[in-house]
Amino acid sequence: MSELKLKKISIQNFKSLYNVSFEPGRVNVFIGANGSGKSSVLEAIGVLSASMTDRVNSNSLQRKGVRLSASSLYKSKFLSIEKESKTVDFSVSWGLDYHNYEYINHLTVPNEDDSWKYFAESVSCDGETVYGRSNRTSAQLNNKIGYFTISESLSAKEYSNAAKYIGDYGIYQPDTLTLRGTVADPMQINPIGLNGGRLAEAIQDLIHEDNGDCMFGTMYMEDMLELIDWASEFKVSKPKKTILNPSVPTTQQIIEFKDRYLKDTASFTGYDASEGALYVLFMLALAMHEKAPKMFAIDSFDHAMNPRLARKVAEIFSNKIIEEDKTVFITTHNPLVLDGLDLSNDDIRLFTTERNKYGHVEIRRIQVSDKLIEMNQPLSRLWINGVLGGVPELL
Amino acid sequence: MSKVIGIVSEGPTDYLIMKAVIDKISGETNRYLSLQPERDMLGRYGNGWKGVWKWCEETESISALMKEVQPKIDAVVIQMDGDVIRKEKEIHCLCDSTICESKGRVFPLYCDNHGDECPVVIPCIDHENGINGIMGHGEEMLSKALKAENNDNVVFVIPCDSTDAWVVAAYDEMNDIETYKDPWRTIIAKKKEYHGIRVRGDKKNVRTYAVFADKVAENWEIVTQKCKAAMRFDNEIKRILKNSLTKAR
Repeated sequence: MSELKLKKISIQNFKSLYNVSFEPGRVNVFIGANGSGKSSVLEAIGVLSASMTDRVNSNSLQRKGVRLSASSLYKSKFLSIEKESKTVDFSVSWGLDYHNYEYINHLTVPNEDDSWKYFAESVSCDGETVYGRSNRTSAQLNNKIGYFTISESLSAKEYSNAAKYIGDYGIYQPDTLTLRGTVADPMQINPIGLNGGRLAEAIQDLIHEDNGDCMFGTMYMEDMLELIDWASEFKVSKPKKTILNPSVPTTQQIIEFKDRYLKDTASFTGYDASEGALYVLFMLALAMHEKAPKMFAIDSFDHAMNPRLARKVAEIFSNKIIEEDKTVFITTHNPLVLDGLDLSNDDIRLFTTERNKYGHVEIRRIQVSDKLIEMNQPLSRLWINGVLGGVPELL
Repeated sequence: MSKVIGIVSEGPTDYLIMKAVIDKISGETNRYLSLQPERDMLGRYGNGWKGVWKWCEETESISALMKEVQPKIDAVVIQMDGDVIRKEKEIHCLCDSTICESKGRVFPLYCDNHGDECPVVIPCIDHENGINGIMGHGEEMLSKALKAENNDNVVFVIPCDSTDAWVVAAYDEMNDIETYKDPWRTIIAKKKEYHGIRVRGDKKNVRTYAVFADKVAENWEIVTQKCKAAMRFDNEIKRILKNSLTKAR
């Protein structure tokens, strides 16, 4: 069985996403001015994922890294809307083994408790409805639970695979303290928490020997160390007072680095290491760890990375995502991240988010010809100069 | 049908006016791209008239820029205020009457001869006096810098003395507004309020200007009757809209 490939995501009436749809690839990069709706796109996918494979309430949304809003603010509240829609609407279509599937739902936002209710949901395969329900359905169904994973008519393997692929979605927002291991991750999931918790354990899983070569996932350790150029080695070990001050809070496992400019005896942990190194390890661990979600998002991909490092990590990360048949949605404000993307590969897609004159978010896929790039017009420059859009237009 | 229009303007307030007016002329809500040159090492020439001129000079191929990005850019509007032609010596560096060793060898913005060291004489005798002369010189200068194969989908607009004149034309019963120097300082920001809109000191504010832009669009027909540059802009925008319609067929 091949791996699922998303075809289209549509969102209506969710926050600033009044009516948007886009066709994702494997690596989906969103750029836009601050407040243009990038994070809302990631969150909408979070609600879609929860609604399709579980239920939508504060718990399920928090587990996916979706910010909890006041109930009334989940729905679009634009001045331009004369008659408010009753529901928030999501749909996702995907291809799997030469078949096309679509899941559609219409949800009402919480009223009395924190549960969203299912006004209607349906699943189709190659245009034929295989499951459907609405408020008018005669059977007594719990309208606070999605039926994709529990309906008898969706018990075949292709549906459970889709549920696993889309249902594991989470929005990762790594933060330095969690990566350093000094604070616990409030959103800890296996293998890495949404804020970067238990990174050491995930790295431990990825370090192995293959035919005499030391590997980090599918990368040679030497290639990995090129990204952390000050380090001669890193490994995972137990904390000990020779490498970590006993007063510093720590985790059971720690990442131990050796600096190539220091004596061999001078090891130190992620607590003392450059934060950029931890973000690199985090990104690549997510891309390559077999237990990490197949579909996930990273808000602010470039955080704490030097622009050149961010460009290289974007390039490697994209390749790993494609190799692993994963789907990722990332946001960035760093132009050089774009230069690490090979847009001639259809699996790698760049999107802008912009607000139109009514404030509604518009999503556009940006494609640039090789000719323009050869004319000394890298994507970073085109973006900064305004040619791609996705910039604050009055600054 | 909605278009993608790139705007190279001196600043955000001009950009707002152009956007509002083009939407009015086309009757569509278009998508706009704010095109800007890269600043130099000292952070200069990212905007203002120097930025606009630099953008034209350094854009290698405007047609490639418009065609090779999807969604493609249907038209580019390049705006520079007419006051610079009245005031700035660099603008006349390349004019026939200018005799200078550096002429043609150094892009005027990067020339080291300033003030009295600069041999340019203004007003320059090579151009007609009046609004038509200013517009003609501005358009020619930008067009030469752009070196485009053709300007079918490019519009140059040289508001005289500045886009502020269009604001005054939209609000006030004044004739010959294009001949007033610096209408922002002398008319709009002269008092703390302009037609009930608070004007904060001498600095242009984009929120205030957004209100002005709507008024200019609302009274566009009157503005075109009072301002030659506005009338020319109106005709030019209609020309490119017609061009794109013909191509679409």
